[in-house]
Amino acid sequence: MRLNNSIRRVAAALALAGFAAACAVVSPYDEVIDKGIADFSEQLNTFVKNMADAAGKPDGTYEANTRTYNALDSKLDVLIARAETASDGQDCKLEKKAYDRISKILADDLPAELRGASDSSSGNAEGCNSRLLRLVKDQLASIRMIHSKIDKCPANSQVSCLRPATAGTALKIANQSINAVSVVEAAKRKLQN
Amino acid sequence: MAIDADEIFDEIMGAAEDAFKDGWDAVRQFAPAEFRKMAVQLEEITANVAKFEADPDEGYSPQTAKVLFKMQRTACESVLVAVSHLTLIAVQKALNAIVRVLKDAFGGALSGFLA
Repeated sequence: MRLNNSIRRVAAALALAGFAAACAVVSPYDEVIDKGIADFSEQLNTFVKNMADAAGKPDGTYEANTRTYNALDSKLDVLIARAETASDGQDCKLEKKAYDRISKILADDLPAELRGASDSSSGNAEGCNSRLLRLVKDQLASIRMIHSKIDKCPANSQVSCLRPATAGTALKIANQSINAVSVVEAAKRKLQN
Repeated sequence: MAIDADEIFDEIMGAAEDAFKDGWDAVRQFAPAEFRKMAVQLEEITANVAKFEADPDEGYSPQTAKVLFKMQRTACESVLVAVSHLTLIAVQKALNAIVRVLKDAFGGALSGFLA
């Protein structure tokens, strides 16, 4: 009887070993994305702080800085393309609980890319990497929109700017999205070591 | 090869528990800190709109605040996607720990299919 139990446990352990060895639930660490997002973070933070200092001056207008926005946007495009190649065009598959919470918070604003993400059989972890990078791109687009169309310095003029107060809040928020990418890559790096 | 299944089972359980706890700690540190930042930033947006309404050269306009709120919602999505990802990493850590224990226990017998 005891022998039978032991055999059963060993068989279960062997089955578990096979299963565990076959299960790669997260994508491998990607040094290019890790370093790329760190570079992007440094460049965006420097740029936005400079814009706050230059608000109301010719150097601080949107028109004087379109090239920097384009360069930052292109940097993200390269990282997104890399993550999308790794995901083979598949969506971000989320844990059901996390998905339910996101759906509840975002309601009608839930992006099309995430709809049905929890039960999408074609979703994978690499798809979530590209989603995280796309969210950073959305943050950059929002800062760009405020700079080009909304903020004026002084208030009653038509001179585009990024107000110091706007720059401060926008940077803190954008950094949350950037940090999300970095934290995931750091955890994957730790897993690999 | 002598195999003590009970001992292996205990080792697997211990390894998986330690690995998952370690991974889960990353989630526990990251998520509350980010949600706290969100609360502070939402308060900051409201305060800056109030400043603007008192003096249009201070703070920022309600239109800017609207875009900043949208950015905050995007940041919230980033945090939730990252938390989901970190949870999967915790699971992967536990799986790796199990494989390590079994490799040690069964040595060559499993070398063919344990990567």
